[in-house]
Amino acid sequence: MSPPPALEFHRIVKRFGGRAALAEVDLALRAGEIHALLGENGAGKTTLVRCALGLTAPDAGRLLVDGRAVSIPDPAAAAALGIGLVQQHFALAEGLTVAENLLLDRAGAPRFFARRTLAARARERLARHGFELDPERRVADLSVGEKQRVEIVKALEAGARVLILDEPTAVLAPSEVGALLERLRALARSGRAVLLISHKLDEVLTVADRVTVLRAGRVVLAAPRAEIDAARLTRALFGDAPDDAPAAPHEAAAGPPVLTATGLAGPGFGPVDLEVRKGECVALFGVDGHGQGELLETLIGLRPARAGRVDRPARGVAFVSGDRHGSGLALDLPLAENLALRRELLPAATFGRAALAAAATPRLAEFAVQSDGPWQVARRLSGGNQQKVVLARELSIGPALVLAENPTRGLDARATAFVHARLRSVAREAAVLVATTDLDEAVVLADRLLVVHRGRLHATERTRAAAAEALARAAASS
Amino acid sequence: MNELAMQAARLALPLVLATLSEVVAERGGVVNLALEGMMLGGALAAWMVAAGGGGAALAPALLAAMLVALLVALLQALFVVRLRADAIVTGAALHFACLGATGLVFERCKRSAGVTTFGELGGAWTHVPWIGTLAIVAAVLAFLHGTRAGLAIRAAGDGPEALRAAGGSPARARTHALLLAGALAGLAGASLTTVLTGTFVEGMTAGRGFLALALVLFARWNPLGALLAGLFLGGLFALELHASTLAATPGGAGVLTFVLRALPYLLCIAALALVGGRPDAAPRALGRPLVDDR
Amino acid sequence: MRRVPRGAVVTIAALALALVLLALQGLGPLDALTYLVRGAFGDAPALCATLRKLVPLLLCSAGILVAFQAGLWNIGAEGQLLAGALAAGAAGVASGHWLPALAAGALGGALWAALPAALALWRRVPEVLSTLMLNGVALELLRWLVTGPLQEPSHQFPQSPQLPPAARLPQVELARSAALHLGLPLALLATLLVGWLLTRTRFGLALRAGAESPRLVLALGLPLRRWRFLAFALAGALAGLAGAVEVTGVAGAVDRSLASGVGYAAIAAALLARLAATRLPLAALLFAALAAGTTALQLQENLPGIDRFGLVLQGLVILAVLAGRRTATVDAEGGA
Repeated sequence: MSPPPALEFHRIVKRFGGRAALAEVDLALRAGEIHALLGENGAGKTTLVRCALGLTAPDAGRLLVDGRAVSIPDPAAAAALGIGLVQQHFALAEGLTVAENLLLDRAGAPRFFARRTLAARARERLARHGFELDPERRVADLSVGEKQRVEIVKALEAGARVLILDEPTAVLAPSEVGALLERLRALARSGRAVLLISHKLDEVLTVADRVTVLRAGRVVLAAPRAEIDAARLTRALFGDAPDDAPAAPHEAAAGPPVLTATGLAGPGFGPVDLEVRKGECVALFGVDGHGQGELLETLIGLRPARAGRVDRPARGVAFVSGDRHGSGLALDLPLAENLALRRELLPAATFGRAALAAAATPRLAEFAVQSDGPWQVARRLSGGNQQKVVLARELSIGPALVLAENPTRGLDARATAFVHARLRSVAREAAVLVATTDLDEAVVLADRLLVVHRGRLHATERTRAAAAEALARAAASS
Repeated sequence: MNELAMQAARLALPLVLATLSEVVAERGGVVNLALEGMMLGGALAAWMVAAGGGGAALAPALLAAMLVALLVALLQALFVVRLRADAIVTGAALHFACLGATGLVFERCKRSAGVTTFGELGGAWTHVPWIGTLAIVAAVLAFLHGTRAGLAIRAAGDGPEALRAAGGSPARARTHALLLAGALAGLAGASLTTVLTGTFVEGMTAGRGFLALALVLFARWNPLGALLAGLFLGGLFALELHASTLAATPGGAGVLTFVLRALPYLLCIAALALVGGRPDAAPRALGRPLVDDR
Repeated sequence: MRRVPRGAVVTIAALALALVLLALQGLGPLDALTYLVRGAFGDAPALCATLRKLVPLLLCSAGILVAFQAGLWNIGAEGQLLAGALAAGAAGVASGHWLPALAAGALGGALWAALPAALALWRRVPEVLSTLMLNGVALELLRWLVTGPLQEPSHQFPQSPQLPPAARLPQVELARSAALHLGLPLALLATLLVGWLLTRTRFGLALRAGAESPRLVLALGLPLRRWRFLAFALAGALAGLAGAVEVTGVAGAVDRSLASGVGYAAIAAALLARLAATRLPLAALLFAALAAGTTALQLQENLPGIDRFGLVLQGLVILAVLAGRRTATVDAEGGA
């Protein structure tokens, strides 16, 4: 009879507001195994893991450690149960040495210590886990891969028998990935249970013993490595209706090109050739961190390109950002002033209160913004209404070119539908480029769909399956 | 020349302690704009306790100075760490309050106690301030790099997330940093009264606290650096005192004095401009308020 | 239930604490208040004294308002004021008229602010430190110039030569020893200008939006960095103007009394007004009245040092604002 799983999620349910982030998720992590957890953004991977780490409590279902039901109220409890996390954003004090960072973590750390003894002990600890690293080096001077190793040691030193790694290769250079995967195999062999959260199909196929795929909070696939391949994984991740038709009727793209990029390159992307014509909506779909943000900023002109050129209209360029905090709205200003920031909406350089309100009110009405009037501070609006204000400001100018970045991030279904409708309608008269990490959104909006991977663009058909395959192919070949 | 060196050493003392204080505070992640005010409070307290008490009153005077400055530091910790108010604004407010309060109290005491002076004890006692300061520098160095509490302070200023993830409390560490900085600031102020002048004059810190804010950069947030930076500046001040004998013309003395006195400020700006923003040695979480992770 | 304005609560709390402190000094709170109020507003000379103190305070805090609203922590008003005073003194003596003196003062202050502005905007040097340092430099500059190159002819007093009558600001005599000079309308005008600039021009809108969301403003194609530089320079110009007004309107010469901490008090006033131009005159008036009142109190009751009290109150007011702001934040979040 095989021993019980080191950590098991049993029918876990978690709701946020009305939405179910996790719906009866089962997942078992066994000692000696590397278990990969896959899913798109928002599929529920992070939420699931947070339950195991004591950062969040499930609404229903049970967590079992070694077959015993447990409750994990806080991170300390998780650590006590032997559950450790190596996260993407390292929790390291950069100015301190490796030895000092390791010391921070020790509950029974000595009150006084000498540098040399500290270093010797740290070296000992590192060696015990098979790492070779100079403990006297400052963390700031380490490579990303080395910093990650320190994080792993920290987790192991805390007594982790279940090690959870969240997108560990996302920050690594390609040369370091192999070493990490080897390390993970060694850890599994030493009797630990490893949960690898990842986007990357090739890595998962290389190292995982079991795979679970989450989609919209549900487990859509749970199988041992032997039973799966790239195609099956892709279908599970993005939907397995090979003949899902594109949602919007395709209108023949007329019009001259409005935005042209030739050989454009910058930090994290390029070289890119892109053309968006009047009357069409081009969608860029890709996973976060593959250069879409930087590409968009260069296309708008917020950041200079390293190579190549961009041709865009001098006026009438609208930027619809989904980041309402930094790029979409000035949250501490009232709506009227937010709208007035655009010269096109209020041509004068100086204006009175009446003029501000007069310019704002009709636009707010046109975009069905629910507010207490043009003098309400933007922060007080709901996310959906805030995004409507962004649209009102950008689309009211009668743009020739619209650049949108994750325009429906964090919005509910109704607000999302509103934004999509507006974007599609403005696409009739203008050229629209939407960069998004949401595949559904990309498919709904696109007249043409491009997939972004490591800063390069690949054309594909306007279906979920096609996009997913294109992404998988791009990932495999890079 | 020997006299110049000795004078430089004396003038350096308050600067060394003040810079040391700011090193501790900034290692913990807080820019302590109330440093000047704490020094004033310490100077006044030391004077009040020691006035007319002869040599025996020295130790209690130092203690009183530290206590007063600690109270100010406590208040600052309340606002900056607990209420997460802006450190700059809080520091400025405390600066005003201390400046005014010390003036008020001094006027009152002057009224009731009459004018008193505090003479320096001769012989071996003249070396005590310096031995003490060197010991304090060494102690702070050992504390920051060789104790768990010191490590927590450095982590709070450099990577509070790491400290929190390890189960520590950045808030507590920052408070400790501020309290220690306060005690050191009190000593710095006390040294003005008990070592340099023997009296209290209103506003006698004369910008030394603000100067220390700049010196921390030169000291690279290091206690030994604080020692060196303080000595360097003490030298500058001593030179300035001798400017009239050094300069060829009477007018020249004025320019030289100005240059020497303005030099620390200008050097700091030049250093900042050259380095451009955050120097590499700076604690990375400096000036950032702590956030809850939930 | 009517919500009491936050500023009022803050002020009252600070005043209450202040009265406690005064009581410890041996002065009954009622007496203290009476003297304070009479010293600030009691008769024409008192009122004029208050208004005279109001002028540089208001000018400096108007400038600080602009800078803070733009997200620039300019605490160098003190130094910018001194730079302006020196420039105005020199220009006044040289030209013999007050108009070039005022212009020179504004220019001097603007230049004194331009360096930290450029360093902050192009080299990411924290302006808190650089303006603070320049305050020190300005003070030393003042000390040197009034005992050196700029000293009055007899070389007896540490001050610049007296300005000729034509270089003094025109004044209006309301009563005996109660005169108001041109600085007051200037200061009020400056406050109006600042308020208008921040709320009725795209320049002001962009500055305020850019304090929190610079990426937004830049994406809209507005020259944010250039505008922030102008805002910083404007703050310096207003502080410099304050210095010029003090020289041409009050002192008649440049001397060390100009470094009285007005530049720092102006920060307190701007914060008390919670960075709103409409509230600024009242906030500045409070501090000016306090200054005038405590000076009178000092003379009247023979309470030496009571004017330090104004400083303590400044600090308490800011702390009260900070403490009050925390609860204000909670309010705001509750709405969304």
